[in-house]
Formats: sequence, structure tokens, C-alpha cells
Amino acid sequence: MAKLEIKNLHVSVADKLILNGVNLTINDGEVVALLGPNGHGKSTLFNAIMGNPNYVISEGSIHFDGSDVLAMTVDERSRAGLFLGMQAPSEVPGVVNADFIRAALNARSEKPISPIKLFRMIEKASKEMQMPLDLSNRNLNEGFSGGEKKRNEILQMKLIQPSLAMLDEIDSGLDVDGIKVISDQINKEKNEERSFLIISHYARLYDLIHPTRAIVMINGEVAVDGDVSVIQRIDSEGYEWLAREKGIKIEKEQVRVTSLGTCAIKESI
Amino acid sequence: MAENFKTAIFNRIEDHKIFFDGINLKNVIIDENAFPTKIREVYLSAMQPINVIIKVAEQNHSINYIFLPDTKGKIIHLLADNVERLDRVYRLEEGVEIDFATADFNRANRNINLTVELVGAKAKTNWFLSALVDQQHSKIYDISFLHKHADTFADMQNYGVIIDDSKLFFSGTSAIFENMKHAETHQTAKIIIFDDRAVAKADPILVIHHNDVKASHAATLGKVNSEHLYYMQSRGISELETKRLITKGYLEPVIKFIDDQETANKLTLALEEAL
Repeated sequence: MAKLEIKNLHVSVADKLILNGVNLTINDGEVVALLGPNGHGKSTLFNAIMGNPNYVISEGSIHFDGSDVLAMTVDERSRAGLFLGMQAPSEVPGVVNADFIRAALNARSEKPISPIKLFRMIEKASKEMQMPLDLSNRNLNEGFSGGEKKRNEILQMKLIQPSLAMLDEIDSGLDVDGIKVISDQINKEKNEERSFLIISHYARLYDLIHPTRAIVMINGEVAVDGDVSVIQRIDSEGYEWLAREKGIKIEKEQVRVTSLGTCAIKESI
Repeated sequence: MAENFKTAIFNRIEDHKIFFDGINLKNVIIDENAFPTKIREVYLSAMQPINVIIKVAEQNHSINYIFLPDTKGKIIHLLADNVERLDRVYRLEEGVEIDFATADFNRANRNINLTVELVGAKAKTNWFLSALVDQQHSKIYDISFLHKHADTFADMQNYGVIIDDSKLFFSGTSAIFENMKHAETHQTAKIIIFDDRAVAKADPILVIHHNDVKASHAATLGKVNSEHLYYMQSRGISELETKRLITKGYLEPVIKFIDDQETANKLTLALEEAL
């Protein structure tokens, strides 16, 4: 049985159709690179799987380990084994990082975790992520640098132990050392039952985590599903070769101009 | 009650005035329920910075607290469920530095009118209020600062959470009168609303009669940030537990302001029970 099975998924955001019939299967133990130009649906796919209420599913299905994901709430999806390392993790004032982690662990345990065990888990994970331990006593992501927020996502992944981890541009904002730490920890968390679906625009991360498969999303659909050579080709040639060889017309990302209105009018006298 | 707090012994009563002169304990309780009914004014001074828990009693009249020169410390209001209406004036004389903390997590209705008058040079106050209102209750807080002397400072921070179809109002005036040069006054009011049926109002008012002063006010009312809800739920935390954590984080800062650990722990427990 496939771990994740998506069929004919159509998803809209703010009344705009972004995913236009996505079909995708992820199996146990796969490490899948998800590529594609900006605005073609990669993050939308992740958020639709996770249940972000801003993303409206108009058609299609998502099954995870045989269960209907669309029938689950966001927290149920997480407890079922799905994890999303976010592109822009939220800063939540007033909620202490350690309290948040404790609540996440208690949510998937029959007995509440003891303070000593929680401390030891956070201490160990912080050391592995090369994060200062005192970040766990601060408010959730509040005042964290971009790199610290991304490391905090992987720290949470390590503690929660999901069965499918979706990582959305986990390398953005990281320096060379940060990318090394993150990729080391991703490699450490790989096993035969855990799958990864990873978005990045840069081959550097993929060189370090060795994906087993590459999927390219264009125009809200899966355009290419191939091996890792696809990553190298995109890194050296971009996406235009897909238009030539696959006959795909790559739609340009629409830049929406936001008008704040007019507060002054020039009049001719 | 905090075991390391002792009941303050008054020195004397004169007509409608009660005097607590030269308090030499660090942690004291003033129990208004033990006052003679004619008391209208309470005079306080201390020989060292003090923490004072005022066990508030509902009275049919206002009580004025006068903090005598150079008194410093923190006042913690304890409001019992049956205190529905309260009128108090706090008068800060020269050199007085008094901070106020009120944590109101009770299931009760309130109509609270408090005025802090800064009447002496260098008088200074910080005000913290955390209020939780649920189950169709109504809480109205009218907190005002009146700068009646130059070189005075006041900062008011009111935080509230409304659950169910309840009502919460924060209002009050910060006024700097004429000739009150270098006075500084700030007001912040923030309310999180969890229910579409709830009614919330934050109405901070500044009345400034001098140019060489600093003043600011800010008010925020709104629902819990949906991105925060989504982020926390994406880690397996239920919606109810997420809202509980966010509420606790929102209201808890007033407890961190309290030095006495035992009192702080009791208020934390009260908050957790309320949630």
C-alpha cells in the first residue's frame, strides 16, 4: 500500500485555482525532491495535504496509510503521521517553545511526558541541531533568526517523529553550516518507513540528502516524475528544457499589484 | 493566601482615615473586608520596597489610597467573585514608585473604576491587568491616570481574553494637565476574542494639555491569529488546547510581574483552572 496517495487533486487559494489535477504517490522510505518554478503549486500541495484552511479543495482525494486525509482535522493529520516544515514558521507570542513541544508530544501519548524526560529530549535535540538550549525557554519562534526558525522546524520533526515529513524550502535563509546541520539531521532521521517530500530551489541541499526520486510541478500539475538526474538538469539548465522536450507551456508567475488606495489627488487649476 | 505575607497592622484610625505608617515588612496583606465601614482614605508608607496584596471588598463608596512620599513597591489586587463594583482612587505623592498588578480570571461580573493620580514630582507607576471573561459574564474596566505634577510617569497595559458570548470593555483616560512638563504617559489595550458573539471594546483616551511631554496609546482587538492556530495544530495539538495555550501566554505576563513566587504560582493555578 502506498504511504501517500493523491488523486486528481484540485486546490484553490483566494478563488484562484492553483492545483489542477495532481496525481502523486509516495511510498515508504522514499526521499522525494519536489521542484518547479515559483508559483506553480509546490507549497500549495503541502498546505493542502496538511489542511491549511486557506486552501480549498474542490476535487480529488488524499489518502495516507489508507486513511482519508480530507476527513481529518489539521491536528488529526499530524497525529496520523504527517509533518510540514513550513516555509515561513509562525511567531506565536506568549507560547513558550518548550510548552509547545510538550503539548505536541502529549497530544500523541497516553501519559503526559515528565518534565525531566522533556528536558532531556529538548536538550539532546538542541545539541544535535546546534541550537542554544535557551531558545526552548523563549516564545515560539519569536525573535528567532530565519536560520533558527528553520532549525526549530527540524528539531520539532525530530521530536515528533512523523512518518511523512514535508519540508518546504527548509534551506532558505540558512548559511553553509546551517544547511550542513539540517541535511545531517534529515539523513539521520531516514529509515525504511519514513518518507520525505522536500522542496528546494537549490541543488546544494539535494546533494547532501540524496533524494531517491524527483518530481517537477508545472502549472499546478505533476509534469515530470523521474530520477535524481532531473535535479542536476534543472540546476544547470533551468526549466525551459521541459517546454522543449515535453511540450509544456510554462505559465509565468503572476505578480499581483496591491493597491492601498489613493490618498491624494492632483488637480489642475 | 501566600504564607509569607503578613497582615498589615494599622497604626491608627482618625475619623474616616486609616493609617499604615512606616510598614517595615516586605510582604503584607491589606484586607479591606476588615476595615471599619466608615473608612474612606487609606494612608500608606513603607521603610523598604513592599509587595502589598489588597483583598478588595465591594463597598458602596469609593476608597482613596494615598501613598506617602518615597513609598515604593507593588500592589496586587485580589478580587473575589462577589466584588462586582469597585471605585478606587490611588494618589501617588512625591517620589512614589508603585506598580499595580491585577489578574482577574474569576467567573464574575465586574464594573471597576480606578483612578491613579500622580500628584508629586517623580511619581511613577506601571499598571498591568489581565482579564479573562467567559460564560456570558461582563467585565468593564475604566482605568485612568491623571498627571497632576510635572516629571511623572505612567504606563498602563491591559490584556483581555473573551470566551463565549461575554463582554469586556477597557476604557480610561490618561490626562496630562497644564504646566505638567516632562510628564510621560502610555496606554496599551489588547483583547483577543474567541467567539463571534462576544462584545469587546478598547477605548483608550489621551487628554494632553502640555507640549513638552511624551504620550502614546494603542488598542488591538481581534480574533486569534488563524496562522498561529494552524501552525500549532499542524503539530498535533487540538484546537481547544491550542486556544488554551495562546490564552495562557496572553494573560500570564501579569503573573511574571509578581516577585513573590508563591503568589505567582497560585495565580498561575487560578489561570489554569479558569482555562
